[in-house]
Parts: sequence; structure tokens; C-alpha cells
Amino acid sequence: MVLGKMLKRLLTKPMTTNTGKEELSKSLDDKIEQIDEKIGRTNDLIKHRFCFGKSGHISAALMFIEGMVNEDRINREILKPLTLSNTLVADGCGKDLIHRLASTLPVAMSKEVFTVDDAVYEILAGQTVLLLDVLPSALALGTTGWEKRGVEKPDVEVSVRGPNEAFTETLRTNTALLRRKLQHPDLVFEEGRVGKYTRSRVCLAYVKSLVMPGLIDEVHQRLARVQVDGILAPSQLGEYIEDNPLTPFSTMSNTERPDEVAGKLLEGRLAIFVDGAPQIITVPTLFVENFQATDDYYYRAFFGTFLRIFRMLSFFLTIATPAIYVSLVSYHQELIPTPLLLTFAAAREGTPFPAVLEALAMGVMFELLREAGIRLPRQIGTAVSIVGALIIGEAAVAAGLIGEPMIVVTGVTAIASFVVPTLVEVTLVLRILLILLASVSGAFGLVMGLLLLLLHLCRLRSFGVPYLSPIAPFSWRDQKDALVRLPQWMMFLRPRLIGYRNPQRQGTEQMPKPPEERGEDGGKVHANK
Amino acid sequence: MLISKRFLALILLSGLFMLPLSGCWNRRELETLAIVAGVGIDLGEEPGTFVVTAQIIKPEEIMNSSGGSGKEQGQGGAGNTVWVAEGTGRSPFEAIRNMVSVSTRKLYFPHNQVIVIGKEAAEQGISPLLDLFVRDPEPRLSAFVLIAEGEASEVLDTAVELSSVPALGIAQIVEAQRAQSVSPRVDLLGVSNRLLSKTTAPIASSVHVREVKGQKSVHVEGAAVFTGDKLVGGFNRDETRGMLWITDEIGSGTVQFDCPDGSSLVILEVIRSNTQSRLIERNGSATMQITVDVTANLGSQMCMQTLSESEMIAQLEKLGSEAIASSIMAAISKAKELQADVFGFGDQIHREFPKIWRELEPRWQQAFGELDIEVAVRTKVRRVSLTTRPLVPDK
Amino acid sequence: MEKGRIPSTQLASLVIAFVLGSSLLFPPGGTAGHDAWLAIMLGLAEALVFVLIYTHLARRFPNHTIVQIIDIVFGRYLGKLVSLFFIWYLLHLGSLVLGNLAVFMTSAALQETPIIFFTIMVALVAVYAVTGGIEVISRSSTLLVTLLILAQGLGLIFHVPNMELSRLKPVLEAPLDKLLWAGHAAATFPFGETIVFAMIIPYLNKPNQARRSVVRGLLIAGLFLAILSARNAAVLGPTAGISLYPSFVAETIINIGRVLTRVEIVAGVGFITMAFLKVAVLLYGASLGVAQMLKLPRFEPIVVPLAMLMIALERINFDNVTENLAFSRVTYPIYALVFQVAIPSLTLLLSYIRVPARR
Repeated sequence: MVLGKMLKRLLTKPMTTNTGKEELSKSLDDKIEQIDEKIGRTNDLIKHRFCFGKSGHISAALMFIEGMVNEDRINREILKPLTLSNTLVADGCGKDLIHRLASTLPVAMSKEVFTVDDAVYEILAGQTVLLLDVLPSALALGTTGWEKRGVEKPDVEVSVRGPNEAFTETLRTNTALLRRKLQHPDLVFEEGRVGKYTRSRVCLAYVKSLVMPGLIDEVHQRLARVQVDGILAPSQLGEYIEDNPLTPFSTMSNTERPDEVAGKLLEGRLAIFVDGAPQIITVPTLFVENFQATDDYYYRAFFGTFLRIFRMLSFFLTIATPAIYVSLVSYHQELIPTPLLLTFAAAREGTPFPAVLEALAMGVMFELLREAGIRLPRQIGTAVSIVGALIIGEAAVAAGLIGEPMIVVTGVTAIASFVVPTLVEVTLVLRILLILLASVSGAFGLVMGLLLLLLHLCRLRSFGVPYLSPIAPFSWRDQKDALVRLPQWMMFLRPRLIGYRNPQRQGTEQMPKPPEERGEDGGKVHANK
Repeated sequence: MLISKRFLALILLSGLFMLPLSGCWNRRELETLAIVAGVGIDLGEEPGTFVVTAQIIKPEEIMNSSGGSGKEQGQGGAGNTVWVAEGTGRSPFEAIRNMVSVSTRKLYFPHNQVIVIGKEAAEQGISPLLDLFVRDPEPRLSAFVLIAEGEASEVLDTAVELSSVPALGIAQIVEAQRAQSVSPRVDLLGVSNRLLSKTTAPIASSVHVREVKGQKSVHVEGAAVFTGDKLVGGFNRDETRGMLWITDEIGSGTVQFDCPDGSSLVILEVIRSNTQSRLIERNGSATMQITVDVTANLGSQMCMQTLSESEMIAQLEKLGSEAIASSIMAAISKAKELQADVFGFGDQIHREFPKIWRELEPRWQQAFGELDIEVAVRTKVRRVSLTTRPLVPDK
Repeated sequence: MEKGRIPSTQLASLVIAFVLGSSLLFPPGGTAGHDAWLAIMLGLAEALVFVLIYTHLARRFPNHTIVQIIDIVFGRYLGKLVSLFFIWYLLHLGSLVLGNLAVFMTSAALQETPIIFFTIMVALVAVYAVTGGIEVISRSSTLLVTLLILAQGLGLIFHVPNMELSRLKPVLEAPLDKLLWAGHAAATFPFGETIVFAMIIPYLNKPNQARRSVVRGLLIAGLFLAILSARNAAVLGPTAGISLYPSFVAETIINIGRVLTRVEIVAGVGFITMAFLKVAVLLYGASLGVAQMLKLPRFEPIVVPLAMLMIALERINFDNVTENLAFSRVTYPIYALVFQVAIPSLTLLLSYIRVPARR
């Protein structure tokens, strides 16, 4: 516990305070030299010397990195006030000059730094450092401003009925997007840096009064032990802090939608932002979340439920269809209804490969096509898929390489795999595993494979919460938003294992009712007459 | 975590080891199977041998002929969508295995839908013949059992119109018997249950090949009756119908009899039928009371009388009941003649009156012959269909 | 040693899965003919007495598995011997279940595949489950049992056209001694076998609910088995009596409009999963037992060797199916009493004499 607290402090305070001991010297030239040397005499470091004060008796310098700052603001908010206004430095170059500057310069953020390292890190983070002759400290001024993408529509998680804005690469924009959804003082952002070289800003977001008890400490501990060169995207960070690293399943969900993050935080979860990436991790993540889409909550509940069940069915279809086909055709012909058997038999007549090889070959071909479609530019991508479908579908059957049913099976598998996009990678692995098992011992192998899958899912946890909950361990209460999506007014309680700090999520009796009056006009027309 | 890693490796390894092994076990690709649709069992020429006929589907031909009959005109054979293979051996099992010498593929029985047994073979007893089909996991208990009036191989060698696979066609015919109820619908499970029963006599659909205008066709009608497991005789259409009334297995069917004026026939179509049979004590001896409730429509009339009147309907009901009762009586007397309790009366008494049964059991054969059976038929004619008068001018 | 805690509902579902384990394949009470369902109910009643004994033991020694209790009650050396007996029973039972499953697979579907393949596969998956701890087994059991009951319930509805309830008559036809013996056989297999839960009860999150959930699970499973066995008799008639796997054969009869047919695979999957869960529970009990008997820090390393032992035992159990049948009909009902009744009741008795209650 003590260790945890220590680590927590370590993480939440800016790391810069601990990283270097060398103090800034007094002389302006020395200071410039110190910083320049530390940064490595790089060309994008701008050293601007100037004088100000009465008759320009104070020599100073601004140091910043070109491209990371807004030069306009430097001119307007730093240089102009300093050089044009004499009142600012009326009393000469006293020790409190820095403080006075900090409080009078029209810059929103400023901070005094004393060591070379601090100054360097501020510069690298896009701040402008004002160095004054004689004084052994510097003033870091907030002038960051680099080229950034605006808030755009989500690319992957498209919503038909919901808000259509997505996170961007800039941490502050992202936190602001979230803050706009949750305007409550309990929404907390905690920031730290991870990565020796990238020094990526990592930010935790949670609602203080809702977050799952113990979760914050757990996340702190896990983050504190991450010692790596760099973190470029949240999924990279996720690999270092998840519960079960050796599983094809992702136990941390990824989203680019602020509304989804807000929803998860309201359930008691915690979000992890990484500066420079538009994906946000939320933990703990449950298996059922793969089958939830943001739109479920914006459609009518019945349709949402229908979609949920459909997605689960799709998941099963996409992992098991080829294996089922293989085990039926190579082992359990007695289970195929006779007319269907005749169709299958006619199609299989004369094909050279056993069904397993057909299934594997078609699976591989499909994955190739998919990958080609993704990696190529969009216009060519569609061409690839059309050509692929034509060649594989028509030609392979015409040449008698593959039976028609296998084409149908592959098609079903492929389409179904797209219904649950977050599990696409997993389904590939599972599909091949199940095909192999089915080819060894038919339905028995298939059942063993599915059992293994179930057991594996039962073993997984995400930040301590069983991954397969609320299915196993089963919870009736939580089915309202798992296998089905009940109307909003029935979601009285938060998820049992996550939202128990404050279980109740809405007032009682939220079910809306029509007015008591009956009749076509509700009795109003006559009353008014 | 360590264990899980090692375990993953273990699973992968064992999977790798199992892959090459899989080739030699149970995998049988669809194209290596000869799918059997129907089996026939006959006695062989040599005494003590059996000839098994298997009707094997050629899937490709079926797809090519796209559901048509696909048979060669004029030849009258089973057509080119199936291959009728034959094997001989001292047991059906051996006979089937002996087909290896003619078949390129392994015979595959789970889709077998009819088992046809030749008359002579059936007379020797069906229990030894059917044991294989009940014991082996491949054949299914839902296959229909039929007794051919001649050779089983002849039945399987005959094409069935509108059906690309004759054996499946025969199965469909058996299934469709509910529309006329002149042949029992007996599957292997039913035969097996009756064979296992101490008293109930097994029955099976009767099938024969008839040649009309040089064209052979399969007819399923009547029932074959066994005592023990030996074929002893048969029920004709009427007696079969009577038996089905008693066992409450009537689906639908026509009942015809003379019009009240005696001129020509009137035909009732049975819509619904329900039979209750109860054992009652009367004068110290047991009497089986059979009550049949029939709902029928006036299906057609060939006489010129106007029948759509209350008195007429009542007449029709009475005449209908009599007609039904007479076929029931015919069935009973035939059964008694054959000493075959095809109705399951013995089992019924056993179930409902275990005490009486204990006394009857040792002499059931005789008791069945002496059993008093009372038949009461109540027919209701509900509808006269769409017309009210025959096709003659109003008087 | 075991850090997991399971809620009582999961214990109930685990009991159901365990009881259905291989009894789905071999419905108990078969010797009573069409009165088998009656025999099952009798057996259930008898087995409830067994349950009272070991749950009482668990109440007297909360947070102790039966192996630990035996250690306390019998002392260090004798205790080890008795524990060894008990663990032997779990292993032997596990090997029997493995054998049932494998023989079913080879006789119903994959005739040419060697038995050892099935036993190894099931044991491997069971090892994976057991190393995950009791939580993994019990959680998956909830889902699997729910699916099984749904599937079998649907199957029951589809069976309605084929059922002839009159085939169940006359009730109580079997002579009383035969019926009672069939009932007793049903008590020892499968109901009394729940003695293995004496290894699991301490890991309940509310141990005082143990008896209630075990009994509840037993009742549900017993009712289920009785219905199933009545269904078999009603659907198959006398053929059920000569069938080795009547429940499986019954499923092959389903035919709804020629479309919903050939669905016995559903039942087959049910058999496999339940038998697997039973093996997993037994393997878990045995592993935990050995670890506690030898006072090892962890039980996970023992799981694989014990699974191998189970596979090996399966190899030497029976030469053929009839030997298996004879064993389960004649020998087992007496053999099992030693472990299901004698050991727990002796322990309970001695505990009153030797050890003051730990409440």
C-alpha cells in the first residue's frame, strides 16, 4: 500500500522534477549554452535574444522549438508587452522580476523552472522559455500550438442516430470533448507521462463518485511499473497493463467516441487517454461489450436487443460455421437432412481436396483479400475485393477445385465476422483452431474446442472483473444491458461488479406513462368549449 | 501463468501430433460414401444364404436430372439416379459387407429410409434380419419396414414416378398413407417394440410391384402380419383400415357405402377419428369395448338423392358407422384367425388391469381368440362441402 | 491454496452438471424397466440422507474440506490412509466417467477412433479447467447447464408427438426388491457421488448455504433424470430396455415435419459437456485432496499427473462394455457405499468422540 501511494505520487506529479539536478546558471549566455547542449544543438531550437526594460538594460532570450509553438502568440503575448511597455519592469532587475513577469505577462500558463532538465522538457513540450540575465531560473510560458487535426466524424464506430464526433490526436481536445459530455465536478483527469523517449502524456479519467472501488489504485500500480522506450498508441500501453497478456481476446476496449467513453465512465469504469492517439481505452472491459454498439442505445430497445442477439449469433457463426461444415461433411453425414446431403454430395463429387483443406484454403484466401483490401488505398481496395470474389468464387468452382457449399460457408463466415468488428482478429484464430479440431474428430473436436474457448473466457479477467460476466458468473440483473438491451428507464442499477460504489443510476419509477384522461381528445376539447 | 503457457504449448503440440493421425480414423469424405436409400433382404438361392439389395444414390445424376424421374423410358428399371447393388452372404451383415466386391465406395446407412423384406425371408423370421439394423449405430430407427409380396429386390429395382430416388419415394408413399389409411405406417422402432412385446404381433406395410401397360410401379397397401417374428399372413386394404381404426391411427380416408335408396354409392371423407378401447367385466368374463368417434364430410355422392337433409344425414351417419364397424369386425376376425394380436390388446390389458393380466397371460393365445370385442361406432357428418344437391334438375 | 469463492447458485449448477455427468448416457434405474423414473426418485430420497451426512460434517468443520477434516479427526497417519482411499475413489470415478464418454463416442459416432484419443482430449481440457480453479469450472457449468436444460426442454416438446404415456403403465410393475435395488443403485450412481462436493463446499462464499444448494441441485437433476427416463420409456417403448444409450436413441426419433430431424447431436453435445464437467470436478477434488493431504502449497502442479493417472486407470477398468454394465449394476452400488457413506459417517462419528466442535 505504501509502495502504491509512492508510485501514485510519482506518477501524478510531473516527472520533470525528478529527472535532473543541474541548476541553471546565472549568466544568460551560460544558460543558453546549457540548454542548447542538453537538447543537442538541434536546428529546430530557436534562440531569440533581445533586450527590454528602460533603455533596454535587461538582456533576455526566448527559447522554443519551431513548429511546436504558436509564433504569433509569442510575438503578441511575450515580446510585444516586454519590449513596448516600460511599466512592466520599472524597478529593474530584482529577484522578483520573474514573479512579476509571470503575473503580468498576458500568457495563460506560466511556470518558473530552476534546473536545466526542467527547462529542456518544457521546451520540448512546446512551451517557450524566457531566460533573463543574472537570474538563476527561467520562466516557462504556455505558447504551445502545433498543427493538429480538428474534431471529425468517427471512422470506425459510425453511428446512425447518435452524436458524430470522434476523438483526435490531441490530449487536451479529447479531455475537453469528454468534459463537455460530463459537466460535473466529480469528473477527474489525472495526468502522467509514460515512455522514456516518447514521454507520452497518459491521462486517466474517471468520475470520482462512481468509479469502481480499488480500480484507480490498481491502474496506478500497473502504469507505474511500465518502463518502456515509448508508447505511441493506447493499445500498446494496454499490452503492458492488462490482466491476461496471453490471450487473443482484448481485455481492454478501445473507442474513438466521446459519448461511449462518457457512458462507460457513468457505469463506474475508468478511461485511459494517451496523447497522440485518438483511441481511448476504457477498463474494466467485459466480453459482452464486444456485442454492444453505441447505436444500440439510440435505437428503440427492441431493435437494440435484436441487434445484440444477432451479433452474438454472428460471432458463433463466424468462428464455427466452417468447422461445423467440415465435421458434417467428413464425419457426421448422418446428421445432414437427406435432401441437403444429396446437394452436398453432388457438389463434393469430383473435388480433389478433403473438406478441411478446402476450408483452410478458402479461409486463407479470404484473409488475404481482407488484408489487401485494408492496406491498399480505398479505391483499389474495392477493386481487389471484387476481383477476389470473382476469381475465388467463380473460377475455383468452375475448375472443380472447390465445392459450391464451401463458397457459401466462407461467405457466411466472412460477412458474420464483420458484424462484430472488435473481435475480427480473435475470430480468425478461433476459426482455424476449430477447423483443425473438427477435422481431427468431427463434432467431438468441435465441442472440445468450444469448451476450451468457454473455459478460457471464464479464466480471463479485466482489472479483476471476470471477463465473461454477467454471463458467467451469471447475473440476472445485468442482463438488462448484456444479452438484451432493455429500455433506458429499466436500467435502474449500474453493473453489479463495476458500478457498486454507487449502484443506483436513476430515480425510481422512471417508466413514462400517458396522461390519465381517456377519449380521443383526452377530454380537453370539451372542457375548453 | 506459467502453467497456462506450458499448457498452451501442450495443446498446440498435441494438436500437431493428432493432425497426421486423423487421416486414418473416422474421417470419411462425403465423396467416398455410397449413400444407401433403401435396403432389401431376400433369401438366397442357396439355402441359408441371404441376398441384400441396396439402393445407392448417385448424387450427381440427381442434380443433373434436377428432381425429375430420371429413369430410362421403357426399361422400367430403377433409373440412372440410383444404383441397385446386390450382395450375398450367410447373414445380412455379411451380405452387405460382401458388396465391397462391387462397390467402389463404403456403403453408408444413416440415410436409409426403407427396409424391404421379401416374403420368403419374412416367413423364416425377421428378428435375425433386423437385429443388425437396430444394433448398428448407422441405420436409424425411423426407417420404414415393408414386406414385399414377392422379392424385395424387385421392389427396389422399380422406379417410383415423381421421385428421383425410388426408395425415398417409397418412404414418401408410406408417409402419405395417412390420406387413405389403408396401410400402416411402421418404422423400425415400431417393429422392434412389437418384437419385444410378449403378446402384440408385429405388422408392417405390405408392398408389391404391379405391371400396368408394361410399366412397373410400386404399390404400398395392406399390411403384413406376424406372429412371433414370422410372417403368417396379410390384411387386405379393408382389414388394414379396420385395424387402424382400432389402434386409433386413422389419419383420413374415404368410407363408401350404398345410398339410402340403394341406387349407387355415397362417399364420406373422414376428417377426424378418435378411438377409445376399454376392458370391462361382464358376466365374469372380460370384454373389450371399442368406441370409435368419427367426424366426416360428405365427400361425394353418385346417387341422385338429395342428401343434405337432416334425416338423410342421420341415415348417412348410421350407414357410415355400419360400414366402419364392418371393416373393424373384418380386421378382428382376420386377426383371430391368424392368432395375431395386432391391436396390442394384450399389452393394453397388461397396462390397465395388471391383476386380470396375471391370470390371462399364460393362456393369452387362446384368450385372444375368445376375447369378446364390442364395437360401437359413432359417425358425425358435419359438412356437405360446397354443394347441397346432386348434379340433377330439381324435382 | 484455492483463492476462488463461488456463489451458492453456481454450486447448485455444478451439482446438476455433476449428477447429469454420465447419467445422461446411462440413465440410472435401468434395471427397473419402465419404472426407472420411480427408481430414480427413490434413489434421490436415499441419497439425500448421504448428503445430510457430509453437509453436516462440513458444518461442523467450516472452511475445511473433507480431506482436512479426516486429517483432524483420524490423526496424522491414519488420516492420510483414509484420505488416500477417498482420493482413490474420486480418481476411479473420474476414470469411469472418462470411459463412459469415450465408449459412447466410439459406439455412437466415431467407431474407428481409439478410445485413448477421447480420454486424452477430455482430460486435457479438464486439466485446463482445473488449473483455472474452482471458479472457472463452476462458472462454465452455469452456462452449460442452462444451455443443456433449455435444449433438453425443447427436445421434450418436440418429443410430444412420439410419446405414448401409456407405455409407463402399469406403474410399480417391477417387483419391489428389484425396484429397491434399482433405487439404491441410482442413489450411489449418480446422486451419492456428490460426496466430492465435500471438497468444494468450503470455497462457497456463503458456506452456510451449502446444504441448501447441494440439495437444490440434486433435486433439479433428479427430477430432470426422472423426466428423461420416463420420456425414454414413453418414446421408445420396450426398445428403451434393450438400448445401451436410450436417451441418445430417443433423440434420433425426433422428426418435426421432416425439417427438424437428425438432431441427436444436440443431445450428444449435452452428454459430452456434462461428462466433461464431472471429470473436471473429480479431477479438481482429487488434486486439491492430494495437495491438502500432503500439505503442499499449491495444487496446480498435481493436476497433470493425476489426469494421467485417470487416463491410465480408464485403460485398465474394463475389457468390454458388458463388464462395465455388470460392474455398474452389481458391484458399484456396494463399492460406492464405502466412500459415499462409510467414510463420511465414520468421520462424523469420530469427530464427536475425538474433536470438540469448531464453531
